[in-house]
Amino acid sequence: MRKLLSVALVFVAILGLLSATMALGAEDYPSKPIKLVVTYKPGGGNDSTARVFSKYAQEFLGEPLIVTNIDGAGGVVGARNVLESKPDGYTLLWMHEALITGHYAGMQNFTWKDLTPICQAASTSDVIVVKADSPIKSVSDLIAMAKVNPKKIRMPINIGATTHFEAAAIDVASGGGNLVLVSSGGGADRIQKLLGGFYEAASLNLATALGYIKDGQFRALAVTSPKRSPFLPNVPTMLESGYKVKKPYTLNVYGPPNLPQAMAVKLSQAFEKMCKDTRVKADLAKFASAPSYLNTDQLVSLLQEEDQIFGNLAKVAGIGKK
Amino acid sequence: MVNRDRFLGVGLLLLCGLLYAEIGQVEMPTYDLLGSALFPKATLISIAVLSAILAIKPGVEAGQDSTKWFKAKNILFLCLAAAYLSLLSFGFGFLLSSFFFVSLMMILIEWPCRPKFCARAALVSGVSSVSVYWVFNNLLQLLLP
Amino acid sequence: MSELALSGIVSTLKFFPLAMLTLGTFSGIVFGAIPGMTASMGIVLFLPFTFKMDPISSIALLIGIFTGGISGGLVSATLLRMPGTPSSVTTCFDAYPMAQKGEPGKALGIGILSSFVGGITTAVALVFIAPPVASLAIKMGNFEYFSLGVFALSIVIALSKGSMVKGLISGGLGLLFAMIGSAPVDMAPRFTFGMNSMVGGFDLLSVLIGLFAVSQIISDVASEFGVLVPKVDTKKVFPGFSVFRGEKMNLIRSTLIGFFIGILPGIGGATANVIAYAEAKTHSKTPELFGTGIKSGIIASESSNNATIAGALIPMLTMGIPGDAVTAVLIGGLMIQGLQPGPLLFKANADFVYSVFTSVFLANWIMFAMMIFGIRFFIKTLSIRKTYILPLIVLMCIVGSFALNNRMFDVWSLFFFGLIGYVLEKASFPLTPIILGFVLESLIETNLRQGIMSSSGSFLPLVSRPVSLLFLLLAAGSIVLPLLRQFYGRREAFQK
Repeated sequence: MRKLLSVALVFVAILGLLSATMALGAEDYPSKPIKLVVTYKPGGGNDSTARVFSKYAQEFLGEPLIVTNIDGAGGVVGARNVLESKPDGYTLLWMHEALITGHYAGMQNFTWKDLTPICQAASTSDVIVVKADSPIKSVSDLIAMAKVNPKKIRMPINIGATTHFEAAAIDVASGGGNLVLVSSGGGADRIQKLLGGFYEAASLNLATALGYIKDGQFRALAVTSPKRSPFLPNVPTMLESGYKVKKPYTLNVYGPPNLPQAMAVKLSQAFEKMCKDTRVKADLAKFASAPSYLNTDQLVSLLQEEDQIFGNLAKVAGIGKK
Repeated sequence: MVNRDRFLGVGLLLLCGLLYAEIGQVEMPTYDLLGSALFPKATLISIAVLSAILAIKPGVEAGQDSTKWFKAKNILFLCLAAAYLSLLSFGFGFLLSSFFFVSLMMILIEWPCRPKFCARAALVSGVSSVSVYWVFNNLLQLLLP
Repeated sequence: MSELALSGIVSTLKFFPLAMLTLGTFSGIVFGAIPGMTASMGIVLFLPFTFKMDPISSIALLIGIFTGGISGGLVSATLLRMPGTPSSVTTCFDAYPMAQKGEPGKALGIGILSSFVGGITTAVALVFIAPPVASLAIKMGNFEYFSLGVFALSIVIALSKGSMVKGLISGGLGLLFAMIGSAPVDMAPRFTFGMNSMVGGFDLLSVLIGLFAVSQIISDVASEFGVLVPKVDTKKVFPGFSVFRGEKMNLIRSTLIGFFIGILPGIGGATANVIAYAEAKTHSKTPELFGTGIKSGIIASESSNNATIAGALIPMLTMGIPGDAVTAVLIGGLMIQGLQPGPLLFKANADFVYSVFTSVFLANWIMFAMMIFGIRFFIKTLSIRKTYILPLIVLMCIVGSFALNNRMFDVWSLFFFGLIGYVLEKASFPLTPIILGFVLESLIETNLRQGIMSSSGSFLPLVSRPVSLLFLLLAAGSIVLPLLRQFYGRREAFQK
């Protein structure tokens, strides 16, 4: 009996010790580390820009912002994880336009409206490139060639992702049905195949393409963002070239539905300060991105505008039709 | 042994049938010639054919385990593991759940055992749970449940 | 140019970078040796620490983890029959039996030595042939990858011990498990049964650790043995190079296989060690001894997996394209330091590139020293009563599988596969084809579908493109030859 009692005592003691180490404290927000969900594997553009902010977040928020990678299904798995998590302010989503395009491509049965948009943090751009030895010298060349040689110009896309919509927009501008859209892997895969001659042109994320453009192996035809990129000031935008292809590439912070307003505001203000910080700007520049702050209301109106653009494009190009 | 292989073959065949029906329900916009249902269907058919061969002509295995597949301890371990994962999934916290799991698992392996061992197991389990938690959650910033 | 090379090498030989290299290699070995934790996990976890360091030290740390991690896998493979990383799966087959027969030190020694030779030769090759080899690699397109995948899958026949039907079913099951989740190309949800958590599919590691490690744990829990590793005298464990007598071809071939698979983006150590092992078995004079504790198996597996490290670095450094999952994270790590992997790197930061070469070269030596001296330690530690070891291993596996994607789903799948592995082994189904099928499914399906898209529906390039045709013929050969052998019995005429 004595032995049993002492065993029970040891158990209880250890239990007490463990409970004590589990600090609670729910007074002030934030009071423990915040999880920032990145919907792709580590090492990509989304992930790297998130890590820049996570590096400095503790100074501005009081608690660390920890990047947590949950990838799968082109971002849907991670986004859904945040959608279904508690709106206690400790789980946030870091995602770009894929949140909108995924919905229109039929892969995601929820949309940005189901989450709580908090703010915009950074922006970068995609750039349309060809190999340096290609006869295509500008976007109009590309589209002209597509019209003349239907089904001979191959461009890589990720179905349901932003690249799909970009290429579809270019195709529509050339009359529709002229480009061969080939499903591909991520940026690195596209670079590899472009180098190997398997595509005639490709849309690449600026961060990965910049090295090749500067080295002279790729020629940049145009950037797809609404404004020129500070990293490629001499390259025109698609809009400037006369084509209605406007694909912003912005990184936004979202929270789960029903997130209390006070928390959203606090986070938004912290990001505003971070975006003004020169160190953040310098770090983001390494990934050809720039800090770009929009508060909640501004973000919502931007999202509504983008929603319309992508929705219309999906209808015209036949994306998401069964 | 012969019966077992036949049984497995038939079981696999049925499973393939079920899965084939499931895949037939996939309805997605088609972007390429082959579609997403082709490979699963082809694989299911191949497995079905092989299972049929297995059922008809079962192999004679010299090394097959003729003893019971599941001893009491195996089953208990699986139940313990299920309980542990459920605790983790429903928010009991990594520290507490791991502590219980590790101590109980040690007791299970060592059973029958004396209370003195149980106390030692609890201690080791407490120390290891805390250190794992500390290394991964705090040091390496991998947020555990 | 050689001025920069020299400065690159010298800058790596300072105290802090070397300290980081040593720390990295040590941590890598620890991560690799613990089942459930891998090199890539180690790299991701240590990445934030590198932000505050200078580029040379940060890459030294990461390469140390990479090298240590891949090598460390052989420890648990040998002593516990649980591969520490996907690159050490086939090491289990011969190292474990050898250890169980009372020679764990010898088994570990052979593994370590093979890892060293595979790693160091490719580290040197890396310096001299990186750019030209890389430009060959990019000529591989969708059809070539598909055919390569089919060839790799065909060797599952060679691996089947015993019933070929069961081996094929295992391969099919592996393919099937990989198809669960969103399909490649159009992300259609397959076999998800309406559950959202299944949409991401299963992670290779949950499947691997579940099938091999957890199933072993389930079995060990109830086994009669008190310890997992036989207590042996660990005095004379240092292996000499004499272990390689008669194994020259094996060593060379396995290293080359690992090197080239590492170079090909999209395929890594998991496939390399299986192919090397299968090829070693096919070309051996005593294939029936594979799986009983023959040193050829260990040599093939361990030399190839270390060779993939240098191989994977080639496309990363020359083109900024990751050769495997680990190098994908390394690229991010370099970019945050302001270095752009790719053609510019050789031109603008040649000294850094040579620093990387130096780190890779030295990491192999450090790994070798640490592991050889660690043999005694590994054996002693794992000779503790299994009661203490097994629960800790389970804990590590759970943390490791959770770390994959930060969800409990992967932990549940870990145990699901553990159960499946346990049952299948009792029913005499080989487990390796399952892993092979799982790893290769995406390669095969994705590339065929993408290829068809780019050729606008034509299957012709499969045979009209020479490399693709070559792999398909090799695949046909791998299937037909063993079948003939089985039908007509072993004949000298069929030996290559």
